[in-house]
Amino acid sequence: MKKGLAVGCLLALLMAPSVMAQGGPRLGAGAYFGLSFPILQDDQKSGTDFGLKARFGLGSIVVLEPYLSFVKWGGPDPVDVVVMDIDGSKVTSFGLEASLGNFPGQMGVAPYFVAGVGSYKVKNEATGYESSKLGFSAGLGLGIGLSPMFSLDFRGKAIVSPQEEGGSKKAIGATGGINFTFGAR
Amino acid sequence: MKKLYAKLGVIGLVLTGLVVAGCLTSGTFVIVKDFSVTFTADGGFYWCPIDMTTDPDWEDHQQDIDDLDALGLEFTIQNTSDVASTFAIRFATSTVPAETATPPTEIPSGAVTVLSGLTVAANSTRNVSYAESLGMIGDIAAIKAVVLTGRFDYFGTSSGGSGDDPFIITKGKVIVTISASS
Repeated sequence: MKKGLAVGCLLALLMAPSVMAQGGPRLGAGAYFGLSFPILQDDQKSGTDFGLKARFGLGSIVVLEPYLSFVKWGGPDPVDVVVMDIDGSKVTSFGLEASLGNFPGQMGVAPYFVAGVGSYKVKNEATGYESSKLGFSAGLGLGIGLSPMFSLDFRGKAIVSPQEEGGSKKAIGATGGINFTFGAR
Repeated sequence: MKKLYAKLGVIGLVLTGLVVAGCLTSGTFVIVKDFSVTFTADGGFYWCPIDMTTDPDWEDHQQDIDDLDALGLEFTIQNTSDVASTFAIRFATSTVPAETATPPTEIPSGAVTVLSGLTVAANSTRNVSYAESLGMIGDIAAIKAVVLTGRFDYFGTSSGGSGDDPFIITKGKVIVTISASS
């Protein structure tokens, strides 16, 4: 499944030239940064979320976004006076998200819905915990097209990352970033 | 187009709601159990019944515990003898309720080694923090099988000490991190 996801992302990247050849500024790239808030995880605190993505506009409203994301949660607060004094887990993920709206090159304010599937690797160096499995995300965003070439992108999404032994790790990500549209004038 | 956006937005909100609702039915919980013990440093052992099942988080999720994410320990250990002594911890499953359990005469053969080779110098005290203990803990797969039963016995053993000088452990804690689905 993970291989299929990687192939899907690769195909999306290979599609880029043909998509661009169809005319119009439909290919872009973006970077984002923000916060990630673990949900119901006593052993983690909020941390940072950084990522890169490519953007392919399909039709008139669907945008496919292969992405690579790096989340670093914070170390836990004391539990029952135990000061754990360890770093939080790192979550590395790659996958494909699809957004409805916020088309590359779109001007003005564009609210949108986004959902995706990705491979999520959760690792904690201190405890030795490690799990890698397919996960899901869904959320809402707001694109602000400043020019045909640049837009701001604010996004909030819920992430569910099932774990190898069962259960899942969940988080809410709140990020802001900038998108660049290739070929736009 | 606006109607399509509205419909997609509603679908999006519903999907997001479902994801968030799923979030509320599972989580990762840290459970801490305290203990304090005193035993001799010349080869004795200490026994302490640990019952995770009485913890509210464990009670809420005991049918749906998926994994032991981490096991840590915290304690202060004092060697009152005149020679260095080495400390070890072993866990063994137990089916006897903690409140009615009586001290065993020997460590069960199926006990798994949690920590070993912790040397405490003569007449000195050593503090082991949670973070430090993570690097000392042994075969986590075997330990998982014991800890996830929820009821196990903690055995502290010592070797190399002299006489009946006590090995004193204070501020002892077993710290268990579990994942549960609902």
